[in-house]
Amino acid sequence: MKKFFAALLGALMLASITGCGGSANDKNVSTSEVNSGKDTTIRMSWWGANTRNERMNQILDTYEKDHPGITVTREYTNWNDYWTKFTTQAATGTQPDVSPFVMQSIREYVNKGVLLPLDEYVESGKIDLSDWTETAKSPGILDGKIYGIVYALSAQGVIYNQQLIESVGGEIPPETWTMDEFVAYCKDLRAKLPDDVWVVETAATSDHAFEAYIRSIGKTVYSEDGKSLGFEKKDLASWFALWEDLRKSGCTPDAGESAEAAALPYESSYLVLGKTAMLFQNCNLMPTFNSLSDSELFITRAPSVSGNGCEILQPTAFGISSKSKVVDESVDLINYLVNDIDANLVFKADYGAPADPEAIEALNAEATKDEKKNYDFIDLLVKDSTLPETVARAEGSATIMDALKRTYENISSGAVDINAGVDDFFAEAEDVLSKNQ
Amino acid sequence: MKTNSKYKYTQKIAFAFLAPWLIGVVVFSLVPMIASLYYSFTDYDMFNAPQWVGMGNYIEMFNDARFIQSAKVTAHYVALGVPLQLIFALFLAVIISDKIPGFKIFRAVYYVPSLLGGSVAIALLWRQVFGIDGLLNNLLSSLGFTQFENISWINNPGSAVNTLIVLLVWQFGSCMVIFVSAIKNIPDTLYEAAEIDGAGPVKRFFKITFPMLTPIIFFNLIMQLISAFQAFTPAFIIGKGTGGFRDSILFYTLYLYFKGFTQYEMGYASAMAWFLLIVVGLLTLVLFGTSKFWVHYDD
Repeated sequence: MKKFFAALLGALMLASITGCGGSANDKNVSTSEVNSGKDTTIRMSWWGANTRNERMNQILDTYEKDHPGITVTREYTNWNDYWTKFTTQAATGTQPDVSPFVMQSIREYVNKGVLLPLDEYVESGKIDLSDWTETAKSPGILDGKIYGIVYALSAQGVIYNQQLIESVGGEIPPETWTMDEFVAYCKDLRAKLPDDVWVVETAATSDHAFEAYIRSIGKTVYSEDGKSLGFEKKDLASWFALWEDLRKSGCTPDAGESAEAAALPYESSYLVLGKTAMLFQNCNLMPTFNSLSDSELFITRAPSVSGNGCEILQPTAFGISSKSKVVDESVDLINYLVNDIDANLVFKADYGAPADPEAIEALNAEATKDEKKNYDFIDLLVKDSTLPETVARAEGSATIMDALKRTYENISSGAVDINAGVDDFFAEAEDVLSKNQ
Repeated sequence: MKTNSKYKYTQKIAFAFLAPWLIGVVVFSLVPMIASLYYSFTDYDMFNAPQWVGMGNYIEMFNDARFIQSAKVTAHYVALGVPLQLIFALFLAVIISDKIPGFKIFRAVYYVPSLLGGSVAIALLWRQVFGIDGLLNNLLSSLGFTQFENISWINNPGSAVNTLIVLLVWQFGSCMVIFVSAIKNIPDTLYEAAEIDGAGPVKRFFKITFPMLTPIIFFNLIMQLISAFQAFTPAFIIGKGTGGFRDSILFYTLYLYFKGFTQYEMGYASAMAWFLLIVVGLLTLVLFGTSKFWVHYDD
């Protein structure tokens, strides 16, 4: 019996050793092929769910077929794991050649030298942005250099359930509204809706809603050098006061329920189940939400204190690794992804409306009405001359936006009052930002 | 001479067989551990070369409100969860070690939660059970307790950790199996003698079963304590990786992960890891110290 086990263990060990050897050999083969110039491998990563992965794989398969000798190896995960993985790879200089970024969060990577400036490739036309508007191009630029080629734009608006609102005799939300009009509208609708339906889920903890609010009073969340906050304590206090007013008047759920509602998957979210009339959410989710909801959902502009446009055009953009050895090939791949009409039609704007005007036109031509709502919303914003530029967030922004959420949870559950909460937030945020060089 | 070379030969074979394990330990445990000890004295952020900061990270911890919150949450979880889990496991072990009909089925059934408990699926299930529209609230309201209708147990700072403690206690299976086999090893003669002397079931438990089991209880206590301090998955899933409502389930390991992989403060995160190791090590030492007063080894 002992002999049998020894033999078994030995066999297993051999298997594992040869297993390792095998994969190492595979790698050697592919690198030697690259070196001989016959074959090139581009590593590309992205985040997304199944639908997106299928569409992207289909696009890349087509690209490989049209470009013999080019192989695109793919690494895709969900949103959270994507960033953990990317950061770890970037720290060791092994990040993929081509990766998408959310441009507002790009500063840390640019400061750390992870990304390649792409200006020369845009100037030479290898990445053809000649027919793009400035609004579409600008979100990819940081400190005067192009680090990202915008693939998709999304923005947070107010999604509403028209049927639900009309069924209780309410007016549907206007195309634009000031913050005062929004609050008055909520309170009016509260009186009409049944008790078990909320008017709106709280957006006090939403980083996008908060940033839009700060923009609508003519300020920025971070100072230009990213070392301090760009707004004052009273601004944050009035933001919290606004949402506390809506909570206390019964328009938004209480603290614990809000936290729970925010964590629900789309299919059981309050908006989809008709348990809230409105929700602050990104427009690229319009097709998804509508496919889940029984009654048709529409989207309108975010409320603005000044009445000027304040939404943030959130760009998803492709960047190239500063460590890449296949820059020319990567440039060509990006150009294909953003400009090729067929590729755009396959991807169906899953990250948001494409920045390329021709692609938008082609997509619009065969869009469903819910996809069209997404494109129209972005079109509205791109053409709004009062809309401030999207600025990259300061380093440490993720922690600070997490602090915003925790602060409002403390306030809305009655643990601290608004002023004490604001003081705590400022202390934490200033501590994080003070570490920025 | 001949024996010597044979000895050397067999030694080589032994090392060859040990090699996969040895390489694994050095590459995946030892080197990273030493590296993290070094990083814990630096401001390493994964991108820039680490700068020596001495005890800076260790001092900063005690001025960090979220660190203190995470330590409190974890202490609560361990101090309440581990004893409850052991009591529950022991209680069931005593019941099903008797030859009641179908005891083998019970043993298997009660072991199942231990296999599932640490998984993502169960953590997701927990969100459903303890949510506003969850199983617990439905049960309570059908029993007439309507005052809990609008409470989200996992988003209530007072109850959030306790729902995770319930999850921990529910994973009593592996402790229970060890207890059952230990109970089987207690000689029947002891019970027979006690019965003849007129000892009832409760007295028999406290005078025979419990003292005979103390080495096993001690073993389970140490093992569960160490793993409870490192609990991560349930809080990560239920709190969506953020520490939950008002940081009410911000476990120590969760905050460590947040520091390391969201804020990239690897130096600080390494210091936290070493601080945890020291605390768990000290606690284990203290428990070993107390063991001579209550653990009976029959030799």
